[in-house]
Order: sequence, then structure tokens, then C-alpha cells
Amino acid sequence: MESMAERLKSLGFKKAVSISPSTAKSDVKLESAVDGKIIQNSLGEFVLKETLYPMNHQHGVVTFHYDFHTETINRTAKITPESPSLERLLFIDTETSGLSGGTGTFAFLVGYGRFSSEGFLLTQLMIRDPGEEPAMLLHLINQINDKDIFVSFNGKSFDIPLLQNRLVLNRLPVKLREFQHIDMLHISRKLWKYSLESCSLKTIESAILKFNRNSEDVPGWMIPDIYFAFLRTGDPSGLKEVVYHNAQDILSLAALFIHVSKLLAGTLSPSCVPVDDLIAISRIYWDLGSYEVSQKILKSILPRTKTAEQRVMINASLGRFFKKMGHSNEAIQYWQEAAENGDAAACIELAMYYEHSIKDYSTALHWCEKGLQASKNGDKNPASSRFLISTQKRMTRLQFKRSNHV
Amino acid sequence: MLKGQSSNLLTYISNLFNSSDSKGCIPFLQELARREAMLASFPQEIHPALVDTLTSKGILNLYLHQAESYTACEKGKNLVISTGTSSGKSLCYQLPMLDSMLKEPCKTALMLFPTKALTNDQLNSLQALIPKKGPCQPKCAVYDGDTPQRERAAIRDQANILLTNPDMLNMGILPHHPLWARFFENLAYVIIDEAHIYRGVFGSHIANLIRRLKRIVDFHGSTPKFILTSATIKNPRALSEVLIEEEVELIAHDGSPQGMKYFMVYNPPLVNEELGVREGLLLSVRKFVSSLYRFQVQTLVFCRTRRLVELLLRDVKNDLQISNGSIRGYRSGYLKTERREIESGLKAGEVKIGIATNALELGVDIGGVDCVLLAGYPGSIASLRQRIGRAGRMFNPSLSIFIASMNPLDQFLAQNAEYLLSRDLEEALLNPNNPLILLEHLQCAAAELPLDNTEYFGKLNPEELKPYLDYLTQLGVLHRKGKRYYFVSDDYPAQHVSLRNTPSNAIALRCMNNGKVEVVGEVDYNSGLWMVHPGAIYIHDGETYRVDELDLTNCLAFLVPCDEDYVTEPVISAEIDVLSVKNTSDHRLYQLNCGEIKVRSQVKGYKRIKWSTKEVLDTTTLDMPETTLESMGVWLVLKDECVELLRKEGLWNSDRNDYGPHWKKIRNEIRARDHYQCQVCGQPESQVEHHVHHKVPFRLFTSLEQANNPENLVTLCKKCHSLVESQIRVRSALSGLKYLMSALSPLLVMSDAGDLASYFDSVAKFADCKPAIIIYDNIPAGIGLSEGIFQRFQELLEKAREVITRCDCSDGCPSCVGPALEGAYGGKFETMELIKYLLETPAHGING
Repeated sequence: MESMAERLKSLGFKKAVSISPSTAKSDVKLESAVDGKIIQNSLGEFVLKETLYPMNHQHGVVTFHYDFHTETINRTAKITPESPSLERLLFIDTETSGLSGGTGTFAFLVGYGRFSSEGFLLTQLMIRDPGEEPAMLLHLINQINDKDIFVSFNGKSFDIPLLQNRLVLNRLPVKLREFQHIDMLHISRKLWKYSLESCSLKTIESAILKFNRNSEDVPGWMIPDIYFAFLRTGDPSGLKEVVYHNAQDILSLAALFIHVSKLLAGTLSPSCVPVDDLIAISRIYWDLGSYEVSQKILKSILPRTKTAEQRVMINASLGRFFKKMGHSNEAIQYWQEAAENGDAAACIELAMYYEHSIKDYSTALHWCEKGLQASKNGDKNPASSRFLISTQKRMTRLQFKRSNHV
Repeated sequence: MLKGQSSNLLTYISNLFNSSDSKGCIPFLQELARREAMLASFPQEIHPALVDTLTSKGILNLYLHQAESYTACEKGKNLVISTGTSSGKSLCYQLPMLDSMLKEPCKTALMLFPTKALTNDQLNSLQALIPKKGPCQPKCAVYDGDTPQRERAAIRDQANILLTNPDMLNMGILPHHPLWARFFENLAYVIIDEAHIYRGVFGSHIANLIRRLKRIVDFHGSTPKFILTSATIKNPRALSEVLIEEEVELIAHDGSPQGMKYFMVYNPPLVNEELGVREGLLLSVRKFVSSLYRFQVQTLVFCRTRRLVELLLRDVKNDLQISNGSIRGYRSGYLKTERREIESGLKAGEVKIGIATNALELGVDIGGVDCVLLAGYPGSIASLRQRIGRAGRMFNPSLSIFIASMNPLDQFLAQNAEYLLSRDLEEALLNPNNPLILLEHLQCAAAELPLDNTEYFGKLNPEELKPYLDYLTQLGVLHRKGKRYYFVSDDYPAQHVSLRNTPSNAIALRCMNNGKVEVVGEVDYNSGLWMVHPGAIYIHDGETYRVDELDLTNCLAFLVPCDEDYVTEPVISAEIDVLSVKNTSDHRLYQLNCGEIKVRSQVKGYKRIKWSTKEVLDTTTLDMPETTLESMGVWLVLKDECVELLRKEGLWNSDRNDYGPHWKKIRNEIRARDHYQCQVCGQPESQVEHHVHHKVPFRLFTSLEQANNPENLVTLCKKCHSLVESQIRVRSALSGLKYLMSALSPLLVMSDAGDLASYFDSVAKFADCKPAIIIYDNIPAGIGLSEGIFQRFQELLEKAREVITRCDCSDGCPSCVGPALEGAYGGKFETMELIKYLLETPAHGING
């Protein structure tokens, strides 16, 4: 073996020096370190840990209980039926051997939680070496009912495809991708894309849920190495922190789900909900086709707005609403308001209005120019080339119309 | 020979021969006879819908090799088809592939192409063959780096025929194979087009990629058949069998028809006979292109570099005063639409002169042209043949012209042009078990699927694999549990594999261009030391740069574009050790060995050499680190008997030099200076005057004064003089043979510039201080070239004899034994003698 290392080195193989071989194996077993137990099935053994969080468990500002409505979340995530029973939600998160993707990455810890009459039951499955993966996966798929709905944070692009890969590799023919799935990352982005610096679970946890983890936690990027160290040394102490990390991720996920459900259902007192959130909620309703609800929310917050930016956004959205309803006069008022404060899209709406309804081409041209200007100033959303091209086209047409009109 | 035929081309050819300009410049012209098609009817088993489609396209019969391919596939064989350019190779695999899908609609096929241009071309030709009224419509899709993300999932779920390239298979497909489960479960065929490209380092990677592919396919439960195509090289079958590690049947009877073809070599006229300088390549090509244009002969010119394409395009347009689209350039860097336009222009005949790089060599369909002009040797016979295969449309006669550059290999081939038409010369070799390459792919394989300790990887058995897997376990990349090795690293190993390079540190080449730092390319660390040392002139993609700085700590070289009229040649000191001998063949006068060697080399400095005259301008010393290369080599050791023969034979008889009018006076002065004593043995003069010897041989000087400079002269007794001279004779013979061997080796074993290195020493430490010549793979652990040369050494010597015997020069030239080296002279005669001795003695036996 030494000779292979030397041979490769002499050929110019340059890789980090070999790591120290595993020293004395630890006496502490993983299952006892994490307070779990060994489960055996037809494919082998793995470790399972269960924790029950009773009703009224407090996670940051969120209290775990049953009385919330999930309808809007479900509509947003296109779940059918729109009000499934809460027991069908499976809150899932995995800890993996890396983020590099591809078949070389596996999950060594799969955690999932469910609401039941006794509370929120968190189950964590983990493997003591990669050879235990088949047994763990078999247990997992036996626990999943095909009517279950996954709830995850970025699970649509990470956890579920990864687990699906692992199932194929272990010849377990279950199609996780075909399950219904609510990815809270997507909904969080809709809500907080503009108001939070990032939409990571960590940011949301502290900014929205006001939850702080204790010192047991480890940063996510360290997790693969902690597991590799455990594989080499057999010392499970580092994994205790990973188990804690995973548990908090799932609790935060469930808390976020409850919080967002309430936000969207309007059960929280509007005065404690930030204006930005309400604007985002109105947008979600708009996208769902509930225009009236959207409009009501907007009108209710207009008096509370603090920044010009918010006002522009609300005015533009209201203009859009009234146009949709066929009330062009009201729409124009809101657009005028938004356009004067630099909203490019509102400028173009006005240009369209003056071109087609009033046939006042000069004013229409004026708004086009304003629109182009606004799109140049707006550094947040740089103008798309499509916008520029169509506006230029509109202006050419308007100039032609104006010269013919005179 | 050309009587009675009238076409622009033929008028052109006869004109060319009657012109006084080309007198003495055409060493070779060969007529390749017209060939009738060998046809076969459609085999009965072919799905009728496919036959209908072919018939509707006017294809009423198959060529023999196409029918043979189908039949062999029906029998479940792996195939390699090695027939000429435009012989309808594609149909050889398209037929069985589509046929299997029409019969079993779920079947899939994976097609690997070395370039993207080829891939798109194939997609079109394939789609045209899909029966409109068949029982199903096999779906074809290109899956490469350009495929939009949003289309990928649908392709994975639905495609029957996937057209891709090795890089995508390595990076994008195998590491995600569970997503491709349907595709792999139904895989019936793997098509590997242009397999001759997969040699050397690239080929060694591809062989391992195929090992990975076969593992994954096996996991998903199918056993596809492989169909390869290859240019006409010596060993298509052996190459294929090394690539896929299975038995392969060869289809090589070309049944396609061919019109009369002329192949001509043009060696530009000497403009300075003394220095052997010929008319510049660009100028010669320019003259040809202009006259071909005037005769309205549609011509495709192949240049070695993109720069030459542009220069030629500019000059020719100027010469002819043409600004319309009848003369076009074609190279990478042109826009896709522009390229398509030129391709169809060539096809339609609107473009009369196309000036291209190798971008047009592979596959891309442009129909045929009347004439192909090669500006310089493209580097391999296979590639030359592919290019000249572009000439000829249906049964019309066509012409190919190879214009030799001043490059020694070009000159050499101009003198020995029949090699260019031989298909029995070039062998494509590779080494799938190169440890560095293997190690990379084993990591990828483990990431794709845990490795079992009873598993084979290609032909490598579990015992052979164990040291690698244990080593990777020791590195922490793999984790062993029970009988399996699991990949345990937060890494995506496929992204570190660079299919065209050996794994090592690379030196990035940076260049300031218009105020922006551009990455020009990269070279591996060891080559970097001699290719991009400070002050080196580095030519990349036809552009010339000077190296300003080499930062070895950060692996960066800073280049400056330049237009110097000199090149640089590194002065390298090398020390070679033999680590183990794998194979020996013993002869009466010499021994040939093949084995592992270690080369320690150091760049000591560099010479600046004037481009036009090859004159050394100056030498600069450098302080560069020593490097070590462990690789495979093949070395020839001369036995004492051989040296003795060389000593005895033909001493002094080659010729007598005229040392000039004052020689007698100079000679007396030197004898006096040296106190009339032999400077080697100390013997004083008695009755006979001692000799005065030129340390650096007289012939190497152009000026009498320099040759007769007292510092170059020394007094020796007759006996010592003869010993010293014979020493030089041995050196000269070794130098000449080494030159021939390294010039000829690439013709036997296909290799890129720099893949092989050679060295000779009349007192070689690695061969018990005997005279020896060594050729070695200039790549860590080797890629099979030295082993190839060992096997064909006799042939190499025979070729060397042919070349040297045929050469007209008096005492060595670039076309035979090469330029004189220090401490040796031309040595044509000595080299010839040596080769004669070596060939005369039969082998005692081969031990290995």
C-alpha cells in the first residue's frame, strides 16, 4: 500500500497528504450517544431516534397546535385536495455526505416529523456506515404513505432527488418525485424576496421565527466532514450536534409552515404584520386569481406605508387590479401615482392608455420616455431587452401616428 | 496519361506539369485508380419501413461494407468499420441502430462524437432516415453542454438515440445515472465515431470512461453492443479492442465507388541551396491557390493554424483582386451561421476556394471538391488521408496536393511520400492502465456505484485494483465496509477529470490583450518548464507569444504577443535511470529493451534560433528546477562487437577535408604550442609528425577561420587520433539513427508533438556506459507508445534504411539524419553503416 502511494507520488500525483489512519476506535456507540435504538429489517440494521414535541411546544414565536388553515399554502403549492388533514404532512430534511450532487452523495441522516393527536413526532434515521443505507431507506419508504405530502425547505431540488437517486441505486422502486410536495423555500421567496437579505432557513429562523439555536448546533457546511470523521474513528460525539441541527431544521420547518399558514389565512392581527409581508401576500393572492382579496389587502395598508418604494409597488398593483376589473379611470389614478415615482411598467400602462383610449400621442410619447428613463434608473431590476425593444417600437409607432395625426 | 479527358482539373494538372516553375518540385505523383462500387441488396431482416425510407431517398442498394456491418450486428458482434472518408460509414451503424428500435420501440442507443459540429451533422442525417410511417418514431436528441437546462429532463425521459460527447458522458451523464435509468435499461448500442481520435492520453481516458459506462449499464441490466468507426489506420481492430475490452470484428472492405484520384507532393523550390532554405509555405500555397482559382477548380485548402487561414485568405484575395464570397475562410471562432453558410456554399459550388483549419476535417458534410491542398503535414497520416478524402465527387477525377513546409517531418515525408498513402503504418495506441488516469476514473466509478472487492474494472482484476482502492481509502476518499468501497467525500470527482490531459498541476498561460487578462491555454507542469520558460517563444493556435515571466509558485506564465523572427530551443540536461526492464530482445550486435525509466531533467538555458536560416543567435542560461518523469521507454544498446565493427570499417575513407591554404602553417604552430606531444597519451613526436585534430569537426563550420581557431585544435598521436575520431564516428552514427528513429516513430505509433522524447549518449550510464539511444513516452507512466515501438523496432530500422538510402543529400540533411549535433558531424555514412549492421544480425530471442 505504501508503495502505491509512493509510486503515484513519483508519477506526479498531487493530492492532499493522506489522512491519519483511524486511531483507537471509540467505545461509545452511536445509538447510545444520540439516545436512539437499533432497528433491524430484511436489508440490515440502522439507528432510529424518536422525539415527541407535545402540543403547545414553543419554537421561537410559533406555538405548535392544530388550529390553522393550510388552504392558501396548498393552493400556492398546487396541492389537491386543498385542505388535506394535517397528519398527511411529512416534514422532511436530510443530512448528507456533501453538496456536490451526483450519485456520490448520500444521506446518512433522514429526519421527518408528523403532527398527531399527541403532538409533533420527530423521527430521525441514521446509518453507522454507508452499508446500512439500504435498511434505512427501506424503513423510510415503509413509513411513507402514498397520500403523504412532503413539506421541505429546498427539498424539491435537493433532498427528494437525492433520496430518489439513492432508492434507484439500492433497487427500491418507489417514485418519491411523484409525491405531492410543498417546498417552503419557494413560498418563502414569494414572501420575503425583497425584505430579507436572503431566504435561507437560517435567516428566516432568526428574522421571522425569532428562534435562536443553542451552542449544540453546527454550521451546515461542517456536517459532511463530521460524518467522515465518525466513519474513520467511530467516535459519535460530533454526530450528536448533527442530530440536534437536523431536529432544529425540521422544527423550524414546521414552525415556518404554521406561521406562513396563518399569515396567508389572515388570522394574524394585521397591525403586527409588516407592510412588506402584506404586499407579498397580496401578490400571492393575485397569482392565485383572488384579485379582490389582493386589492383589499393593498388598500388596507396604503395608509400605513412608510417608504416611497412601497407606495409605488402598491399603486402599481392597484392600477393593475382596476385595469383588470375594467375601471380604467381608477387604474389611471394609481398608475399616475406609481409612474410619477419612477415605476417603468406604470409609465408604459399610461402610454398605452393615452395611445389607445385618449389618442393623445404626445402624452403617450412622454410616458414612454419616462418609462425608458425609469428603467435605466431602476438598478434593482435592470430593464429586460424585451422591454427596451417593445418600448422603442411603441415610440416609433407613436411618432408616426403623431405626424399623421397633425 | 491525361489525354482525352477534358475538365478544368485535368487542364490544370497538365498545365502544372508543363510549367517550368514546378520543375524539380514535384517528387511524387500517384494515380489512385478509379474504383467501382461493390453493392449488396438489403438484407432480408431489415425492417421494411426502413427499407422504404432508404428507397424513397434513392438508395436502392447498400455498399458491401454497409451490408456486412448489418449482418455482423444481427449476429450480435461488436464492430469497427474502417473505410475511407465519404464511404458511407455512418449508415453502417445507423441501419442496425434504427432497425433495432423499429423492432423494439423501447430500445435506446448512445452515440459518442468527438466534436459538437459532428454531433449536429449526425442529428440531421439520422433524422432524415427515420421512417415517417414506421411502427414508432425513435426520438433523437443531442445532449451536450449547449442543451438548455429546461430540455434536459424530457431528453432523459424520452430519447431513444442520444448524441453526445465524452466530456458530457463523464461530467453530465454517468454521475447522474439513476436519472437515466430508463435509457440505460434499454441500451442496445453504443456508437463510438472517429475512434482513431481516442489514442494516447485522450484514448487512455476514454477507455476508462467506457469501463465506467459498462459498469453502470450492467447495473441497469443491459449489455449493449459497440460499433466503432475509424479512419484507415493500421490497427483499427486492436485499438477498438483496447478501448472497449471486448472482441471486435473488423469491417474494412470499402464497397463505395471512387473516381480517379491524383495525389501529388510539392516541395517548394530551394532559394538558398547552401543552407537548404526553401520558398516559404505561405508563398507556395498562395501561388497554387491563385492558379487553381483561375482554372476554376473548386479547392479546399487545409492550414495548420487559424492564423495561416487568415493570412492566406488576405493574400489570395489581394492577388486575385476578389472581394465576393467565392473565397472563404473556415475555422473555429467563426459564427455558427457563418459556418453553415460556407458549408452550403461549398456544397453548391458557389464557394470556389475554402481555406480551413482542421475544423472541417471531421465529418462535416460539404460534399466533395475537385482539389484538396494541404499546407503542411497535419501531424498524422490518418488525418492527412481524411483531408484528402474530401477531394472527389461521384466519379469525377480529383486532385490532392501536399505542400511540404520547412519542418523536418514535412521534408522527410516529401522525400518518402508513399508512406502517406500507406494504411499499414500508423498504429493508434493507448494505455488504459496508466495509474494516474486509472486512479481518477476509479474515484468517479466509486461515486457512481460503490465498488465491490470482487469486481473487475475492465480487464483489471480485483487483485490489481486493490492497491488503488486501498490507497484511496487511505486518502479518505473511499470508505471500506465489508466487501465494499464507498465513496465518502464531498466532491464531484468527474469535474476534476480532464479527458485530454494527464492529471497533474497545470500552468495557466495568461496574456494581456487590450488591457484585459486573457487565458490563452494551459500546459502541464513538466512540459511548462521547457515550453514556457522565461524568454521562450511559445506558439499557440498559430499565434506567437514571448514568455515574460514564469511564476512556478502560482503556476502562471505571462505571455506577450510578438512577431519575432526567431524561435527558441531549450537546452536541457537529462539523466536517465532504468527502473525495471519489462521486455528484452537480444541480437548479436545490439540489445533492445523496454521498461520503466526515470528521467531527471533540468532546463539549463535556451538558444535563440533565427527562423529563416536556423542560425543560432545566442544562448541564455536559466536557473530552473529539476523535474522527474517516470515513464516507459525503449532503448537500443550497442554491444562492444558493434562498436568494434564501426571502428574497423571505413576509417578515414569518407573524404578528405580541404583545411585551407594556410593549414600547413597553422598545423606547425599548434604542434609547437603543444610541445610536439600527444595531448592524450603524452607521447612525444619521433620520426612521424603528430596529427592536429579539430575538436569540433571541421565540417560543422562555415568559416575557415573559426574552424582553424587554435582553441579548436589539438595535437594527437596517430593512434589516439584514430580513437578520438572513431568515438566521433560512433556519436555521429548514434545521432543520425536517433534522429531517424524519432522522426519515423510518429509514423508508426500515432502521437502528438511532444508525446515522445529521445536521447542518445555514446557513454550511456543507464546502459552500462555503452552507446545507446532511448525513446520514451513523455507522459507520466506512459501511454503505450514505447511498447509499440519495441514491438515494431525491426520495421522502424527497415524504414530508416529506406529513407537514408534514398536521400540524395551528400552528408545529412533534415530529410534523413538531421542537422549535425555538437561533437558529431552529419554522419550520414556512419548512420547508414550502423543500420546495415543492426539489420544484418538476426535476433537471438525475445525474453519478457
